Amino acid sequence: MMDFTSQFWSYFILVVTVLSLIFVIVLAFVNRHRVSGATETTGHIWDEDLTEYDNPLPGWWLYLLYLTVIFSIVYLILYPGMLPNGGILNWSQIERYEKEIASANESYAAVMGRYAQSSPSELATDAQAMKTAARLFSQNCALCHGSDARGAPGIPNLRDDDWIYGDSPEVILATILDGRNGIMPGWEAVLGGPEAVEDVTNYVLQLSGDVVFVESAKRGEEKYKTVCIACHGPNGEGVPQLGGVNLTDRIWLHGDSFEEIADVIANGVLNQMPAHRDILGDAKSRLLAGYVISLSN
Amino acid sequence: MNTEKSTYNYRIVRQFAIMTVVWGIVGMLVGVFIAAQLVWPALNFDVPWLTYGRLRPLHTNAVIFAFGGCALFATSYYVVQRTCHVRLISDGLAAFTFWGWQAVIVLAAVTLPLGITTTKEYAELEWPIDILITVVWVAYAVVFFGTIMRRKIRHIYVANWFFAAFILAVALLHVVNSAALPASLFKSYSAYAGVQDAMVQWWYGHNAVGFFLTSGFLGIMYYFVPKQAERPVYSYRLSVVHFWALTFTYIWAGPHHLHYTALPDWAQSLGMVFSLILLAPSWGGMINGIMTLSGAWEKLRTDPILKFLIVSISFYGMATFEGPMMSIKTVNSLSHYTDWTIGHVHAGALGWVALISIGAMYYLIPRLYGQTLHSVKMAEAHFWIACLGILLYATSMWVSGITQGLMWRAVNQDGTLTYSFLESVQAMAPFYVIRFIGGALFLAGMFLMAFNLWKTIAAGSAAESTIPDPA
Repeated sequence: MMDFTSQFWSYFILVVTVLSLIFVIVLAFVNRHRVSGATETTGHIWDEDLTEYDNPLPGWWLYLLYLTVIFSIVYLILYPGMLPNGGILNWSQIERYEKEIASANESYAAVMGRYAQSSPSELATDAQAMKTAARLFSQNCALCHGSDARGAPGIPNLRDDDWIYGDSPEVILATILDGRNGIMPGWEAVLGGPEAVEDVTNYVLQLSGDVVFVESAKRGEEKYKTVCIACHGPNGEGVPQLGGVNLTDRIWLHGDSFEEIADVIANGVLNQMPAHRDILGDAKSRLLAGYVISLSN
Repeated sequence: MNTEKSTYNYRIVRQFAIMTVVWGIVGMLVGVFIAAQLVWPALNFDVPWLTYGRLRPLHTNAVIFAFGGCALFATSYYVVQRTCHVRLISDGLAAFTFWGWQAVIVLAAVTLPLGITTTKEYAELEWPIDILITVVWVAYAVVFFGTIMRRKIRHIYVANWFFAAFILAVALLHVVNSAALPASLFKSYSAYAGVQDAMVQWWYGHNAVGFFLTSGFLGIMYYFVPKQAERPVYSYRLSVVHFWALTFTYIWAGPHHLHYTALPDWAQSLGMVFSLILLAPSWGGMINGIMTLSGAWEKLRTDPILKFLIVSISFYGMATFEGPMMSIKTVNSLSHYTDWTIGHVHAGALGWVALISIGAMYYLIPRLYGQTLHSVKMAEAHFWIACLGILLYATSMWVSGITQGLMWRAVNQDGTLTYSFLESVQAMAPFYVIRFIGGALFLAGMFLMAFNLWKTIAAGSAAESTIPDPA
């Protein structure tokens, strides 16, 4: 299909538009005469008693029609329409958007500039800044993390002290700015089948202090030491640099039942925190990092 | 001379008229149910088939194409015969349009809750159903235009122009917008991509309003208002001017659904100005309808059918004023994506389309069964219940929509938005309750009508009408 960027369609539409407008005006104009026909019908009779008067077009109605057509022609000349490049005013919606953004950035430059200079930890204790941050959170983060920031299945709780990538303000800010791709691969084939998955699941539950089948967990431990240890650490305490989660804290992002944990081990799970650098920019991301830290405290 | 040729085909009109009432109740029942879901979300019972996203298109399809469609079939078949003084050219083909259209409706009622959808608004039905619609529509056009061609009066009555424009335009819109590449029996992909797809969709979507819900129902107005008022149509020349002006300008108005999107600026401008120009042609119809009553105003006091017809025209005038205003980009930036749109649509759908259809059914069904209406008082009660329902519905959605629009754009001193989306949803709750009550009242009126007409039909029997010689 032809793109709208082709000039042909502009001209095609232009011609048909102008012809339509001329047709409407001419039609109204030739019928404008104020003949008196109110007492005489046109002479046609349908279905025994259906007839028509031929009253003149109401004047106010005719002028309303003319007015809207004249307005439309003027509008299509001033604004994008009949002339190339956005009409006489050279108006475009993208330019208007950019202007509004620029003027907003200007009016909020002072306060945002200050935030951009502050560290998330400083902002976390600034009551005024946290008011702004709370609103930013409810508009940008609450959709996934919940309006109370307690997360949802698959989405981390931001009020606890468990940090998948570490609890330093810089790391939290980096997570907000550039996002994270959490990748847990599926291990069923590597581990050697469903029974091996069960063994590892038992071991992992044991790490959290659950009562499990000891024999199975023992077999699982051997598997764990060869396969899982790289990301989740020798004792299951996690490797924040890699996003390998802590398996000893009873916090289960994707569900805490045996079946759910076994499923994650067998089939893996992909999780994504989107990057917000282009959406929010530096200052607002700092505010949010500060806000998240303040929640956790 | 056999009776086949000397009488009108009332059977097909009876069939469509009865199904108008039936589908009206079904479609509005679904509407009231999903309105309730917006207040009490648990009403989807965790059953996928009952979720809002699947029932909403069922509601729109049922009220527009099942209720509105049957009303248009019934009235256009009745009007074209009586104003051409000739029986429909083919009883068989007319019967095919009835059973074909009912099949389309039933298929829609099955596939939409199952989640089978093209996702194009008001064109959700998948390609096999689209093909059936096309076949039925071609048969409809053959019956309608064939009957016009056999007419006994040289001059074609104005109602038939509007029915003709409606049939032709809907054929064009349906075929172009539904063009798709089938991937399987239940899945197809639109022939268009990106913003072109959006543009084609809203060219279709707005003209479905323009030609299905406006031209077609103006056809109803032009027959039933002068008939019931027993007055001549106000102005022949006004009907000529507003018919052509309406037809020429509606077709361009679609882009106003895509203001401030990826649609090029010039296309948005075009959509806006043609929507504005539409004001006068639309009001031409309103003037012609209401002024037809001049000299017979006193009939409004006692005749509920005229009340339905005249109030429907008033709602038509109001909705066609509101529409052009909402198409202005500055207004649209506030109203778009809010409940205001829902309020606007229902002022048109309940106020105009439904009321005029109801008036036409109260006129038609007693005549089709050779019996006077069972209870005029009940029809009178229906009128007031319906009006109250519309009032509650439209006003609650206006307030809700403007509230939403203002909440979404409110900005604090620090540049952040004042309200989260959730807060705007919470603010809607009371209005959703009022809307639910309004819709339920309107539906209650429909049940009253069904009972009234049922008693009328039970007391009468299928009537025949011999074709009179043209005057």
